[in-house]
Amino acid sequence: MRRLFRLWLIGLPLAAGGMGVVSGRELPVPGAVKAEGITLADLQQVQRGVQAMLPRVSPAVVVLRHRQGTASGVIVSPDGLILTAAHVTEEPGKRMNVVLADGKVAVVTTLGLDTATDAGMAQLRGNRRDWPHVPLRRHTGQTRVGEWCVAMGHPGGYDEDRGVVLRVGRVLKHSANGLQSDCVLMGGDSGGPLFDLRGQLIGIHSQIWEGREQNMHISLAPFFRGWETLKDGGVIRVWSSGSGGYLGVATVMDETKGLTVEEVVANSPAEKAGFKAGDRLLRLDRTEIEDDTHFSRLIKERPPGDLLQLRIERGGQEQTLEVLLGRKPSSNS
Amino acid sequence: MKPFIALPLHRFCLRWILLTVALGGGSVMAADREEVGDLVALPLRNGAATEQALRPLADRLLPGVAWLEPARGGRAVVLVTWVSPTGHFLTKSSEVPHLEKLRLRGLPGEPRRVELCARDEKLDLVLAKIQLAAGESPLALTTAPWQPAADATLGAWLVAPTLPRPEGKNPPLPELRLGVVSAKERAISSQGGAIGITFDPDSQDTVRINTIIPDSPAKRAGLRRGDSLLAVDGETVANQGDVIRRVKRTPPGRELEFLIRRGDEELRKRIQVASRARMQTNASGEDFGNGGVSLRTDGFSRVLQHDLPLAPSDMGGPLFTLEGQLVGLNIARADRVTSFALPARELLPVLSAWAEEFGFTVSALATAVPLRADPPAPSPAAATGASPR
Repeated sequence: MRRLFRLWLIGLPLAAGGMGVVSGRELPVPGAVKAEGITLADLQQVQRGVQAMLPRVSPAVVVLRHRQGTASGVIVSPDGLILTAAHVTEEPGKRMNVVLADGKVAVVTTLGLDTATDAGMAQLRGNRRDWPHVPLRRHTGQTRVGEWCVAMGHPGGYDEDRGVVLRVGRVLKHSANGLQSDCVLMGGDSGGPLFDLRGQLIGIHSQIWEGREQNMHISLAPFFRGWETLKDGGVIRVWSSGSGGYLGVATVMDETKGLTVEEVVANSPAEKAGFKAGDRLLRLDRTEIEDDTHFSRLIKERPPGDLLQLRIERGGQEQTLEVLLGRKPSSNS
Repeated sequence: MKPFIALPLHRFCLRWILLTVALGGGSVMAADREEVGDLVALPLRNGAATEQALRPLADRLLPGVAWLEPARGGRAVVLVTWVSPTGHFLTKSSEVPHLEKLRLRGLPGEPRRVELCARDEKLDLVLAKIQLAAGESPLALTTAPWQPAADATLGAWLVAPTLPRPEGKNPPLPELRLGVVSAKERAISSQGGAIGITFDPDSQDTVRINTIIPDSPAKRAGLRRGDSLLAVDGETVANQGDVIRRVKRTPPGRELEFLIRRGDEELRKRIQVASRARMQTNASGEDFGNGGVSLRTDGFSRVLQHDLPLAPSDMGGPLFTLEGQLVGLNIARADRVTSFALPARELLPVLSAWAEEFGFTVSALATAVPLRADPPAPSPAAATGASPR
């Protein structure tokens, strides 16, 4: 049995400096690593790449603190917008302390969050317009399995003597909203940045499974998708997932029952088509639905306005529902 | 190419429960965990690609890997770092309090008896030696290519040997692990010792054990809930404060003798004290895929921090750059993301003094000249290392 852990705000007994790690839930499951021929010279090149980007990105990696918890975040704009994890900010409009790379303390207001994917935002207070910040990799689809990546963060909380902690690894899996890498993470890393070798942000640390190679990051896809909503302090709870058409169901995967509708969003295409909580999803058109990631991918591939036939089971009876995919909503809070 | 292996996926409810564990004056938040079903994990060994990339280094460095294991057999306790063709080696002292009960493996032939030379508690190092057969030098393979130690800067790749868990009856085969220098070089101050017990919080006057932390010295020594402590190292303990003070001021790695009352019986237990910080990190006994942490994880004057996925039993072994230059000796596995190494130049003064005292020539580290100011000049070894054979 493997276990999953949230890279939660770890309870930081500030006096004693002890550590503990907290909790977990979903996100994708490991896939295979693409085996590519790499040589010692390649590794030396990666080393040079990493060392060249470090001075550029390190100043933008911050610690977020709230009560006894500590987590990480990264500044992405000159006016102090911070990307982090939703389980770090917890709710919009909250005040949190930030420790900057140089040890100075600043204050943020938390902005919106996407609890479906764990994407979160916060805004540094004040009028400063020259915050150190990192660039985002705009094309999330370019992130490749097998690509080198660099994780940074403050595992265990801020330690002035230690500074920010670096880990190098490779992307092991890329799903609709997430990345898995073998950059080892632990409590306090939550919300910290995952970079490519050019120093562009490609993900935000979210959670870990017990295995050392099972480190989960939120990809930038849900950030880009919900950018305005998140900046405006909105709370996103359900996505059809992906950037394609919108269905409006939250699903839950169960080993014995398969994929089941957990919640149907009001006024969504799914509601109009007659979906109900508890419906088991069997087939989309002619494709058997394997699991939630597979289902997400199938929906994502279809544009808004597409007509789908979904074979479901309700109360022991199979039936087919026709649904017209809509446009993704900005928020459903 | 299909990029992923299709796997059954399991999704969990969005709930977590925070709970607070009172421990040693600070509170540690922990949370509810969800059990998950079939999850295919990558084996904790190098993939074929990494294997291939590291092959030139592995060919040079792995033949010199040796380790200590119990004389009666069992799993490796620590790796060793050879320092002289006379058979002298260094390893992590606190992992081998009873060195004479161990044997050295990894060389051809039978396991070798080891002889204790000296210990340095500050550095957590022990110097020991094996008797070599006439004409034998286990170091011929390893010392020659070792280059002067360079300073490893943040982001520099590092490799170190590891001894994977043996599969079946075959002896374990050493491998190289790859990682980077992941934080600033610094001192790790000690927060004192602990053995992993908590007392009944309501009664200050009884010295009765309330809980025992999993993976702790107390657990390993067989202490039980309800045991009462009567004396520590011959001193009677009257209350909880006495015990906590006595244990806390004991440097991690040392042994204490506890006199215990269990029912009508009185027992004596020798228990090795662990780092207090390590107990706090691991209070819930969760392991996060570490393979455990070292008994002593702090109290070092200077360490190099790296992210190599090593086990506590890989401590005591050498740490190299991608060019095969020795940069240090692995000294503590601290948590999922942290391993510490003693920089070569940090242990050189002690080693030089020992070499004089015990009459050997330091070959492996003798040339480990500090190169702080300038980056190391490319060495012939660097060129060899870079071109795959």
